[in-house]
Amino acid sequence: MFAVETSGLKKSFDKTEAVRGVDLRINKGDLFGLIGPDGAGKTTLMRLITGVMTPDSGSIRIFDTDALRHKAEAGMMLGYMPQRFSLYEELTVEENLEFFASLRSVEKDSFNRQKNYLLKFTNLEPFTKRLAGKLSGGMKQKLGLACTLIHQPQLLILDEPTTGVDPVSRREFWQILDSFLHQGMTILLSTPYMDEADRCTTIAFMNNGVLPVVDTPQHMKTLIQGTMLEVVLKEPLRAKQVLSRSDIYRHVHILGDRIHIYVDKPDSGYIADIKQILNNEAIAVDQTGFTAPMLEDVFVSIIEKERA
Amino acid sequence: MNKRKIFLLRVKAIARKEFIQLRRDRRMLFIAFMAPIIQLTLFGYAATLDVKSVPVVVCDMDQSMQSRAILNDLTASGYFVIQEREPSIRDVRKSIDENRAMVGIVIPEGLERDINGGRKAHIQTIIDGSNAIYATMVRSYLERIVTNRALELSADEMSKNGIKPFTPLDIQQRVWYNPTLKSRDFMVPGVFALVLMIISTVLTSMAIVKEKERGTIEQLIVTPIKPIELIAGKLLPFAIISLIDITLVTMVAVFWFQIPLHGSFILLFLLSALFMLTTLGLGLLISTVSKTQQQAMLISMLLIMPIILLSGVMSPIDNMPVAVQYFTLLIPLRYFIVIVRYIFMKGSGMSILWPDTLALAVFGVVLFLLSVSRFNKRIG
Repeated sequence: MFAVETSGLKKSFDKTEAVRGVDLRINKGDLFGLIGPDGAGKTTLMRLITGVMTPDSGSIRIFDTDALRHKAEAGMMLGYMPQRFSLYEELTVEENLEFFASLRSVEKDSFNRQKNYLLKFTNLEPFTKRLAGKLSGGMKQKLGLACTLIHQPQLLILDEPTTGVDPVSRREFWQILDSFLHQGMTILLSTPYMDEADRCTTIAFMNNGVLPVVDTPQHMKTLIQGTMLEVVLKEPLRAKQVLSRSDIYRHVHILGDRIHIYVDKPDSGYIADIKQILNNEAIAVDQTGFTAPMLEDVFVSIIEKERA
Repeated sequence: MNKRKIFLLRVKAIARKEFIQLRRDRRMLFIAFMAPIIQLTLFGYAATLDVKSVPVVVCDMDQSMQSRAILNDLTASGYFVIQEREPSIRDVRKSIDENRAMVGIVIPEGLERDINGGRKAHIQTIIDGSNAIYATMVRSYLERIVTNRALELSADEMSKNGIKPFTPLDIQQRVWYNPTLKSRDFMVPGVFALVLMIISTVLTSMAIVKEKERGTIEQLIVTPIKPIELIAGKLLPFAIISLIDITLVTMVAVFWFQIPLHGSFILLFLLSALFMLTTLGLGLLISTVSKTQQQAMLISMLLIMPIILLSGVMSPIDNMPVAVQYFTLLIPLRYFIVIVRYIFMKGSGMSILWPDTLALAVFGVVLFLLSVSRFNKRIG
């Protein structure tokens, strides 16, 4: 049995096909990461799985329950935190929890137990009576998570939960997720951060409404045969333009203050050659070396391969 | 738990949340309770068609007992106040041009001489006609005062000649329901209906679109709540607020403006509640088509304006072109205006009001079901 199983899932809006036939299987207890460029269809896919949207065709099973036919039952098994999770700002922390619990018909005893547990867990206990609108961004995010978990779902679906959250809160958020994973919960999340994707047990890369690659992060990195030549320099953008003109160095990715160049083997001849090319254009090079491909390299090369 | 219990629990949860939100949102609280009172008070004072203390500019070139008697009649009526006295006709004109006076009265030299000599004398009146409704009323008051003076003069003349004065024709006027023809008694019940409509439509349209604007609607959709439960829970607080508003606004009308409520308050209350069904439905419908609170507000205003103009609250429907008259049959406010005015002024009961009540009920149910079904599609 899978926590989530979809087949042939499709959804289009007017003229654009947001999800174009997705077959997805998420094992129980997995931390499943969904990554891909903006507009790839990640949010739509999550909305379909959670039942916020109805697919044009295809099927969805949540823990073996047909989610399209038994929407309410499937809904009780999952908790969904949308990208723009907004709480009722005029309600206190406790009132927000109470509201979401009562909509899901959580019994009083079980609500109190779960509420105390979640408040302690998220360190929100001292702020029980505070209005949600008066919480910091990180605390709001944790309250959002608590509201999604108030009915004790076995499957948690999070759409970019840490976007716009400060690094300290982000780390805390991940600690909370880790302990839920230890309790056997299944988590599906989308993220723009590669370090977060690296923590997942399985990653699905989404592009143009399909999932061309679904694999473990470790295995995914081996998809690139060869190695990456890393150059640290001041003008990565110009360097990429210059290098892209040559026939050998066509795959150049910018990563902040450095560029990664795909080469077939760690041959120091490449370094000398690249230094020469950049020198001709008066681009100063600070540092060079070979490195193993990062997840980001993998995705950029997948996208470029698809475009070609 | 059985289904009915779950339904009630969810409706209660939504309604409770709405009340808490409302209680902590001063702006909404103000709109819900203070705005109707303020609106009724302001409109009650402003929406009056009574003619009172009209500023008059006078050019009395005769300066005689007769001319003074006419001017005295004008000021004694209470309708007119002599603001200025000018020596020439040109100055009278200037005074009206510059809005210092609304009426000019020119009494030519030789007025007394003509009257005493048995010749027909003339006075000229100039009325600012830029406000046609007001000018018409001013004219009729002026005519009445001057005619009375003329009748008195001819009676004097007749008795001087030994003829017993008599009036060959006279009207015996009886005005029912509003004997003193106070326009406020007529306008305030109309405004009462307007205020209730505006408040309940705007509040409802804002309440649901707010969830969309803030993105909280998405969370609601993930929960097992059904659209009908959401709507019921959402509308319940606004229905209750509307009922409180009905009471508040009635109290302002009766105790502050001293508008006599001839009919039954219970009937007024119940039929107002029926009318609310149409306005809550309209608000809900606006909510389903708009994406932001601003849009909802704008659409509300765009709809409310023509509704008011076509409802017959400002001008009688009988005066409108025939095609427009038929169109007004589609406006629920039209029926409610009749109901409110009749209950207030004539003390009418259901035996008189049933056709309007029936129309209101039909519109209420149709509008409500329509908006609920549209809402279903949007959420699913």
